Amino acid sequence: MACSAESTSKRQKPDEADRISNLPKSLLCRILSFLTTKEAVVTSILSSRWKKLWTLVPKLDFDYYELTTTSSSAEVQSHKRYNFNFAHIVSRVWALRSASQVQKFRLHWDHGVYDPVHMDTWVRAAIARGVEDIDLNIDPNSNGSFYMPFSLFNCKTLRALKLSGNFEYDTPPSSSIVFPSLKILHLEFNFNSCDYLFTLPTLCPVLQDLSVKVHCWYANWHCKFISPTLKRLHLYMKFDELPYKLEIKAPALEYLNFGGHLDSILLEDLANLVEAVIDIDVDLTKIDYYEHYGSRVWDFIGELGDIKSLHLSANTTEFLCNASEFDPPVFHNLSFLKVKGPCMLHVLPHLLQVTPNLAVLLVEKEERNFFSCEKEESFTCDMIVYEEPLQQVVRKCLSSCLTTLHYKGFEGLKNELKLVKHFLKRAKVLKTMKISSYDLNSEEKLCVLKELLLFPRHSRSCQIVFS
Amino acid sequence: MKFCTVKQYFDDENNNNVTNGIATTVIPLPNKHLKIKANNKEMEQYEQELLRNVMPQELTKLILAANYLNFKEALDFFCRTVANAIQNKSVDYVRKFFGLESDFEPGEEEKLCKEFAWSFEGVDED
Repeated sequence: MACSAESTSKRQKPDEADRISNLPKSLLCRILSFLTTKEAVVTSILSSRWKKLWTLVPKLDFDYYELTTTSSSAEVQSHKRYNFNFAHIVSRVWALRSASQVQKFRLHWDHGVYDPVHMDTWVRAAIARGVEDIDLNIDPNSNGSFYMPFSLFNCKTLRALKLSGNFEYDTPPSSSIVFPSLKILHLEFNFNSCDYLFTLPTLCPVLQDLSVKVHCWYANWHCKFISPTLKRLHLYMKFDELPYKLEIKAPALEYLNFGGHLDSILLEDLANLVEAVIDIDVDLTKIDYYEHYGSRVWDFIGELGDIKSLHLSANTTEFLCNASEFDPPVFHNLSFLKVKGPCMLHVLPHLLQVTPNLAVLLVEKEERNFFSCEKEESFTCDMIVYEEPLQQVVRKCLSSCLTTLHYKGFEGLKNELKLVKHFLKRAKVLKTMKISSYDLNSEEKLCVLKELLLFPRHSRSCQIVFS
Repeated sequence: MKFCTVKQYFDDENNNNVTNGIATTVIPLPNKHLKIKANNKEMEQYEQELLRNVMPQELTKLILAANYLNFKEALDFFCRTVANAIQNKSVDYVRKFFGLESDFEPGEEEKLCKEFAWSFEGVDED
């Protein structure tokens, strides 16, 4: 473990022992494992000690684009120095490397002519070498696809699997156990039929982190997903606004990230859910009755009633803003709220009404080109400052809970200043108020800062940061 | 559990090449790491600073210290820093960085270049 022993008397000279290349092989391999295979092979030329070092690295990382892009210099174009293609290179590396374990196998073949036979061979070789982490990416537009071998389902060493592109598999019978050690599963594909989309994750006995990004052209599918161990779930449904039904039972779930088109999602038993990130990403022009869609989004958020932390993207707040009917429940445990978008201020009064214990509020006003809302900002700001029923709740929250307020995209407008002044006046336990702007020049910034510093502050320990 | 090994490290006479500098860099790392774990940008900045202010020899010591202390996150961080420093750099640059000299037989180096020509594409002509 210690490097080659040097007695203390030699410490006056720049130590040989201190040179990185004199580190033990295991540590040098660790350094090389942070490089792609192409970059690691280059080190073979450094010195005789380094000649075979790359063959011991337990990671294989091949990227089609990286391995086949030649530099644009005229010299290279005029005489091709080699005629290896991608499959040759990968096969060659497999042949030359040591027989030791492959911990991580990453192969991105998202350009060029895909060959499923080679892919199958390499994946089987990785499985035979005790692979723990597989990351495959195939060009979704290619003709071929990767057919998952049975040995992959049975692989006892596999802990993380990322698949993106065209994949096929025979659905194992529902009584079987697949991926006995798999904790992380990330799937990103285009599905022609979504019927068996969630059967695979349901069969994983110890799954903790699931990410499914899917583009489906199939309407009215109905899937059920059950996992007693799942802690993190990231769903992105790009469905071209078609109807679907998804039932999720994941009682250990702590983190939910939902993006895309929202239809019927039944979430059972969310007792452990702590954080939710919602990004409704749908083409507004394709939705009929987007006011109803907005209500649907409010209902969905309402299902998450016990969470501590909520992030709402700019898209999401637009839908919330335009909802015709909504009646969200009170979020008693919510202490962190992040709201983004041009409709942020329109939605804020409604959110503040149901978050009595809010401690950290992050708001970010973003400019959007395509959709402009008709609601008046000054109206909603007045709501927060003056309107009576809202006032009661806000007063309670501000006086005992709110510790941090961060306002991004501040423009120094009258109603914004009024809002900030109101918060500063009422927030008793406020520690930090951070305000950042995108468009103000330094003169305008100074003006705004001066005004902000003059506002009376209820909390003596409050710090105002302006950037 | 980390502090036991730290004490052992200082008591262990064989490790007399650990200077206070290393201790002050490695030990505060758990706190720093926890604080900026979520913020990749800050980690990047810290890495840049580290590369600028610290000689490769110092990095070696940091790697050995982190390895001895069994501090996986710090070890990965320093190793990644070294990897980023040599990524796609020319052979001469990397030899200088590592303090190495070529000890190949004449012609051996050219043979390797030819065999792995595909890996040398895109490397800096530094």
